Amino acid sequence: MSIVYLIAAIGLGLAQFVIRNLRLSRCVSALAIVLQWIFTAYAFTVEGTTEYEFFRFDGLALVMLSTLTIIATAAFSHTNHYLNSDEDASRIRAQYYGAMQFLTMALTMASLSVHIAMTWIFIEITTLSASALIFYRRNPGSVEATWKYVFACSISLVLVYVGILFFSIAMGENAETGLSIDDLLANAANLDQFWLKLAFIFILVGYTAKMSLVPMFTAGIDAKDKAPTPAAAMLSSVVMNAGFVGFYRVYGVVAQTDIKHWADAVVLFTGLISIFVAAVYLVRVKNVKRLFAYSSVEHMGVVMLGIAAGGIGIYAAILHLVLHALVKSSIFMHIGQLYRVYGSKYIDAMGRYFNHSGLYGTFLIIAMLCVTAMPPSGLFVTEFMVFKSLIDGNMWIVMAIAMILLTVIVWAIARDMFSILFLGSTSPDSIKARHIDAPWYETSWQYILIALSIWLGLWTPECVMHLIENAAAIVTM
Amino acid sequence: MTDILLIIFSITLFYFAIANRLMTYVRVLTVQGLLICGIAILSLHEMNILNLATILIETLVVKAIAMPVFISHVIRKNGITREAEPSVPNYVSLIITTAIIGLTFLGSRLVEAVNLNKLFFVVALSTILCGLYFIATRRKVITHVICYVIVENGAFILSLAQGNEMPLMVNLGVLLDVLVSVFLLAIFINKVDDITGDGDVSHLNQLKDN
Repeated sequence: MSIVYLIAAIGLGLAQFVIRNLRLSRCVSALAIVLQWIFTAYAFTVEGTTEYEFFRFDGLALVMLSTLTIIATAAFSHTNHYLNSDEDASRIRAQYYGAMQFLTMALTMASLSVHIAMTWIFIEITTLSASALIFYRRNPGSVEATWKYVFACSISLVLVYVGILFFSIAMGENAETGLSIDDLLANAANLDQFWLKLAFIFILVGYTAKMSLVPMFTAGIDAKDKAPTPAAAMLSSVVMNAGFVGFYRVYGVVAQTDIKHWADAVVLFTGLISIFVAAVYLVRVKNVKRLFAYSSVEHMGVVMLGIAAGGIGIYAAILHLVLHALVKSSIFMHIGQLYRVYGSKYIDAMGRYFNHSGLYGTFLIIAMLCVTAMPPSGLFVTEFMVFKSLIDGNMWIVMAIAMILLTVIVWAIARDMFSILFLGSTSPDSIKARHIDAPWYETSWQYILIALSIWLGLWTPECVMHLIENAAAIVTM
Repeated sequence: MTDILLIIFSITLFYFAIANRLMTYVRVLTVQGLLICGIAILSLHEMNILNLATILIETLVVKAIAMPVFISHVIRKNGITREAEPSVPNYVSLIITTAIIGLTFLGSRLVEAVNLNKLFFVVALSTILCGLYFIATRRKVITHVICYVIVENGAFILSLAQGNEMPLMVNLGVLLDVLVSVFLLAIFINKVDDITGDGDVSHLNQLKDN
């Protein structure tokens, strides 16, 4: 079935590139979304099985796949309005729809892959399709952002490739068996530690470009700033999750070896330094899209702390990823509306948003609470669990530093959001707020996504809990 | 024989470090492509027709012919100045390249692995590191693409360094990666040129946080 999906998804993607008619493009997109839902539903019916040795429908894959399908549907709905309001050339629009379809396909397959080379190939495809999306505007800013994104991601993926080769060296005589996660796990005890450490470092550094972590986070920030909002919503949520899947499956192998403590220290350091970098940038950033892009760096840092702390931290980290994806994608979609109201992405040019529209203003308040992990945000629960796992692991100093940095981040985001909502440096009369209202379904999707994140965080259903526990078992078994 | 080819390969790195013209860079790529082709064929344990075909396409057709032709076409079409204009003097680059190769050589004495060919490893790692160094010290967008191909060449040699044959799928993946990245980047340079005028990457610094 995964091959059927792959062929159908590629077929629809290729069709999108040649279709010039907007209505037809939308129909094909709708068809692709239906395909995505059917495949997701199918994945749940075959939970735990492996297809063609490469694709496994395990807990991690199902969690990531469901998140992707929900966000892709919202992005599709959002795209309809987004592309409608712009009078773009049909060729550019066709490229957009095609690239979006390839991105969704590659993300789906990357989350299912249990072969480190296979995951690598699909993540490579996400780079290529994402670059076409970032390039959409074809202005100097988008050219620069695309260039940096393609270049940084290509270099990063070469590093991952080198990491995969080191894995092969670490396997020694057993390398003939292959590089699937099962083969690696079967040989975990015999892996050469020196090469394993090198492989882990290279793979972690390589995937940080996708995960938006230190050291390779910069390319992602520019990309999220310049990409059209539906694409930025995907980049700041599910693309990061795909990078995490690539890293996490490898970490699952490393966690079964003697270098686990060393790897945890590396992951902890990456997480903490990412939160630090995010805090520094968030204080001075003036562009609302970049503000939330840096906030993603912070959240991925928290995820890494959870992974390094182990125990309940791993469960919390995976739930945190899902909730963050829902919250952040809804916020990026809302930024499209914000931009249409003020005609600018700069916080200084915004103000008194609440006066403009109560519905939009309320959303922004809820979104702010959610993204800063204040109650009733679901992220509050997961961050709480991450900190609990840090305490359980006797990492008091790490926890204290992280908490101080998070306080700074909450202050920085709240300052900017309150300024947009209530203050504004300009007087209310001089705000050139254009009264352009988004269609009802656009705002409702944002409310749905954010409500879903609160619900999943506070009242996690039994089945979701079960899936995430399965995903956490990759490390804790 | 393989050893000689590998040593010639590392000499191309020195040559690249002191080269002044973009076309010399492109020629270095061609030579590297041919050398890699030779190295790959010599180190094949068994002549599987499918493996041979992939390697021939990957090295000879793509790395030694298609990419240099394509890159020189882009250079000519966009009227990019022929001087390479590195941001550090050539003799500094030469010293640093020597240092990288020397240190990798010394470093390789410390590592041990049953299925690892040391000379391959040294050449591969120093190529990757030199490629990254060249990227950092060259200003033009097109030279970044060329240096990226050098890094990819290093990664390819590394895949030969470990005695086990990499599965065909991985090779295909690399091929896809190289092909698409380079073509995408090269097509893209046309656009960068439209905006910056001279393909100088130092103009691509407008995205800031405040």
